[in-house]
Amino acid sequence: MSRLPSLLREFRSPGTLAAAAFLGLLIVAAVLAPWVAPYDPLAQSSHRLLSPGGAHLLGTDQFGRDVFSRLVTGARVDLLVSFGAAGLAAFLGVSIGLVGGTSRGLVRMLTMRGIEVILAFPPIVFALLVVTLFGPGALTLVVTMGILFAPSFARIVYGEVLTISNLEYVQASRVIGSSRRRILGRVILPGVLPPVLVQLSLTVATAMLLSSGLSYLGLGVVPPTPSWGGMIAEGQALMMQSPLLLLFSSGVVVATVLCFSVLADALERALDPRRGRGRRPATPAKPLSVS
Amino acid sequence: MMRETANTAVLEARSLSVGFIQDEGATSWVTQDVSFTVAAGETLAIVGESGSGKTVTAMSVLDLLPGNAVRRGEILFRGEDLVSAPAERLRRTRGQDIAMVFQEPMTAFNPVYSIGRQIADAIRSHQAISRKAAMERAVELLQLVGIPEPERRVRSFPHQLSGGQRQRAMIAMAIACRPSVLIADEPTTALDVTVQKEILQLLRRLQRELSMAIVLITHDMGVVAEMADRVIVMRAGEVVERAEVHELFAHPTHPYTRALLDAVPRIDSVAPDPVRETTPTGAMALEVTDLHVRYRGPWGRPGFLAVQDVSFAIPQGRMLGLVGESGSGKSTIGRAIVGLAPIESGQVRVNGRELNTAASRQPAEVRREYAMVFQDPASSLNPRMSIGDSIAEPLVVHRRRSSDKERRARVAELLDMVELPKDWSGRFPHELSGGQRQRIGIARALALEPTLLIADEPTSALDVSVQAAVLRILQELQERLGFSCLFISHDLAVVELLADQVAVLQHGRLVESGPTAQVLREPREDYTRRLVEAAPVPDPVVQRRRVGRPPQGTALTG
Repeated sequence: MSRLPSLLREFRSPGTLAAAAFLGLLIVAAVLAPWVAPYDPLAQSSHRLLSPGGAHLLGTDQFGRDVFSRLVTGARVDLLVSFGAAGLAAFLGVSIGLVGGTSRGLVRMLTMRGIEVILAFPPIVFALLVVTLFGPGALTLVVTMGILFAPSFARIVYGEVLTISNLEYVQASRVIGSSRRRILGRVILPGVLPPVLVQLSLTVATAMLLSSGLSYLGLGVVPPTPSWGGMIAEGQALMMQSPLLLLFSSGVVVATVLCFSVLADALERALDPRRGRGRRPATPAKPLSVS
Repeated sequence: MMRETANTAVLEARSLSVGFIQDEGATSWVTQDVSFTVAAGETLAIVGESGSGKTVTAMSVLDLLPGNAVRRGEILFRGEDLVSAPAERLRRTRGQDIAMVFQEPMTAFNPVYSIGRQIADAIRSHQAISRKAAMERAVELLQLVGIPEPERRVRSFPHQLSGGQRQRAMIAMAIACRPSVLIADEPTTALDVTVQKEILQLLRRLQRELSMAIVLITHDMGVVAEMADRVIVMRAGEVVERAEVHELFAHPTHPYTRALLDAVPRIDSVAPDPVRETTPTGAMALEVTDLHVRYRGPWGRPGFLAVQDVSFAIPQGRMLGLVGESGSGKSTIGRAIVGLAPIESGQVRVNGRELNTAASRQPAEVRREYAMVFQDPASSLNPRMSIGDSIAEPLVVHRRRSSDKERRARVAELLDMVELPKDWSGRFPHELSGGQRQRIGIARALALEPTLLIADEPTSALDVSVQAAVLRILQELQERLGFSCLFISHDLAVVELLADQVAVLQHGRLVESGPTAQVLREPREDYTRRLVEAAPVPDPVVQRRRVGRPPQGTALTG
């Protein structure tokens, strides 16, 4: 059942390779931030708002702090928060969706209606509420956004499970005598994964933007700890004097989100046996090709 | 005959080819040089299996194909070319001169308007009359096609009519402007045989009254035998044979036509097999007693009672055909036995051992005794599993042949049994044709060497030539392995071919059961007789006698 060869094949496409390389570099840089960053991201100096080049690769901000060092250090928090939140949301949502889709009666009602209650909260208001109650910080952000984003996963999975459960191959597995767990894990789950992967890549993007937004509002990562959202907020204030500050900070957010989407697409293709294989069904009708 | 049709032809296709422009800009032609003529009052049947291009040809006449389709050649309606005709001319032709009846009347109607409104709209798009007058005309048309209470039915929505009534309404809409040509694309394929019989009768009556030319697209040789004056046989986009209907059935010239006709099972063909007639001794593989199946309603309330009071038994090594029309509960019985439908009351015994009908799961040693082959080869295999993994799934679940090597050997053996190459186990379902997938379904069902096989319409989604191969494999395997089989089908001819015994269902109740030859030749019950009579026989002489149609040859002279 290994799909490793087809996954490797996907990496032959230059787009996928570039996306993987960028994300890989970003993660390595984030992990090794204290060693990669040329300066202390918090150290202020008198060299304020320097242009890129020279001693400071991407210049300095209004307090004379090195922008490159801050971006690299900020990546730690941002990647952790957005991937953590998306992962948590996917885990919660897929579990709830699978349970809701395969049970009936009260359990189904509780799970799916419960999800709709969460959906009814405006995300920012909910995040504000939690952050006000528990105080700002990375962990609060992850949990809050994990809960906030879980319903969309649950609804997608729920719908897919209902569709797939009616297909004959699921019933065939039941007739064979497969356990409920096997049917859920080996038969239904692989079928619902493609839309979940797409949603996951979208959620990472949304989480990154929302955490940036919350940091921007001062509710996420507390300054002076560098975060991409916080840097966008600072850059926005100085947009007229020094537009590059805004460009760099929002640029890494956009690039990361984009690369993640590309990778999710590649993964989805690799998981689907119907794609990327040369053989076609043996049909008697041979289309006649005339150029 | 050639001179005659050339004179009176209302619709003529000359070297018509249809192709689709691909993404790369190249055109792939799906039909090549199809020519036919059809005269007023005449029925031309275009016959072929799926992918033969028969529907594409029919749709191309009125240019109802997707935007990337291209047509080459000529389509002459009363001498006027429709291929080069401007769009507005074509629009006026549609419905007014050439009308169409589609296969699936449920999707061919718009669900949000009443059928009367839709028929009236069809009329008003060609004639300048008031809505009220058009509605009155719609009532007349519904009456003409034999819908009871047309004044009331004209306000019905499509979902409120039965399948047969919907198809009648579809025909009413098609003939609303008295077209000269009616193109019917598999008009009865979605219908039960008894309804099909009525619809075919209706089409013949309307053809006589309106002297329409009918182009009938079908895969069913029985329908051809009953309806057609002339036939063209298509295969892979080309016409392989054209002949007058009696000539075609009596002396098919092309090998493909011969193979096609040979593949069609006939309800009146084989003499009763004396070996099968002997009363079986020995144990019963399956005994069903007083079975009631009721589906669950919302919130656990009792829902629809799909099967009531059904009892039957299959002796070991025998095959019982369970027949009935759609909604008769035949599939539900099969599903209830394997635990996919809830049994309300009654007993089910497999090899003498009573199943616990209250539980939806049976102990593993009971479950190994039976297996199921499903109807739809497109969805009965997991698209994400290789076919080897699919066949091995029962072995894995039941922890049989635990080593990988043993499992692989068994999969190869099973592939060989269903006459597929042993090295195909790494392929995926989408790489296989429908018939090949259904063979995988049989291989999977036989993996644990069950004593009882339940086959739910295993060939109804397949073309006849493919069906013949799958049925032969099933029959040979049964003889070789000696399993018993509950064969669920709507097709009496298939059941006659395979089954030792037949049970006939109607509205969830058993109407009649007994040895195949007796039930189908000398039915005791009225309903069975109607079913047998409605099943068309692929022989124009016999079939026309059965439906009381005068011998052919008189209609066309003149």
